[in-house]
Amino acid sequence: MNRDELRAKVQDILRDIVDDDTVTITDDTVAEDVVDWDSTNHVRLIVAVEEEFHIRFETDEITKPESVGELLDLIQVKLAT
Amino acid sequence: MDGSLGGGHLDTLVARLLARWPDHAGYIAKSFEGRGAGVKAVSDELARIVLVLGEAAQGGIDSLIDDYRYLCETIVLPEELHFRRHGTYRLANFADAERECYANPEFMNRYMNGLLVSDVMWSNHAHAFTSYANDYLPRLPAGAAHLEIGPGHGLFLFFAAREASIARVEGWDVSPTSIANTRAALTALGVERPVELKLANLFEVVPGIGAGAFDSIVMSEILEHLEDPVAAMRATAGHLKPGGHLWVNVPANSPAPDHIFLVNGPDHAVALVREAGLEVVDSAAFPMSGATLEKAMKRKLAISCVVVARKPAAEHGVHPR
Repeated sequence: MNRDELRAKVQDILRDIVDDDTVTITDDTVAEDVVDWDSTNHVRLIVAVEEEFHIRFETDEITKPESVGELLDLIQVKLAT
Repeated sequence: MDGSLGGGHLDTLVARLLARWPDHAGYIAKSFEGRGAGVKAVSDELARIVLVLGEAAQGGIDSLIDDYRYLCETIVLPEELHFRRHGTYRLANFADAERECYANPEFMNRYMNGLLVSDVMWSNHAHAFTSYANDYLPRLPAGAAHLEIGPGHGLFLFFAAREASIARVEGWDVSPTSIANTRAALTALGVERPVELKLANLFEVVPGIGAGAFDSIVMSEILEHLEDPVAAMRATAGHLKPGGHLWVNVPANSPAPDHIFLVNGPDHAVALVREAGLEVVDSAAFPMSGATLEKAMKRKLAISCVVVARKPAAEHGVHPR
């Protein structure tokens, strides 16, 4: 899966989490850019990403990504290992 | 954040909070969006109390604010993660909560300080408190004897002590440290009337207290800490006079390191109260900041569930024919 496909998957998951099909993300998107992307929904997003890609985040990794791009980087590292 | 939130104390406390934690501004804006005049007024009074208690705290108000941030960012996160992954709270028995939390005074102090500030900042906490202050307390009968089980930071007892129509105000806790903290808070808040605080276990005989001694009992954020909340409410009902009222506030879908009993929504809270043999008089549900009740139910987000119940005036089925 290339980066664009990965981003599209994460965008679908995020749309489902925040109940908003109009949400569009780029690597530069941060949580503050998306209405309802709060701390609880961030955890829901992380768990949904874990289930989708069969990966597992450590607790201290969850709040580390400061942008969508950094989250995608982390997912790609986990998918590669 | 621009503009007043609806009160001088509220504005002061939020300004102090955002000076230390600017990234919390978005959350605060959402949390205050849906608060009506009554909730804002009570929130302002709660903010005043937090500021007073902050002055008395080691490290001042900033230390309370730091503990609130620690609660939001550090204490709750691993619990939220477990809840989202498994649909359960991480711990399920009291002994584990005792070992991980209650036996750690330094952790408990930060945790309780954080919760104190959350009563103002978290929409569901402020709404639940308002229902107690504005709807429940004023309707108690004149001369009422009022008890709180687990008074913690003392805010609920403080509001009860201000009601002139309540004749007697009492608090019970199983922890001497909690009793001392409640007493210190009431003193700092300038409560002058007698408020009796007892080291007492509601499951046991309490010296000087006969069965059915109280017109009103409050259990706020207690049931989720217990393995058998129905048994606790049954025992509590034994301390109510026939026709006396119980005010319960229990959070649903609210993972925390010492929450061991999962309430999955407002209906579940009501069912637990009924199972304890009490008549439900009223109930209300307050979703977490930024969520509607419908959204909170659908996403299993935190909801403060308030249930007002009454002890039946007479036992059913015992009347002679």
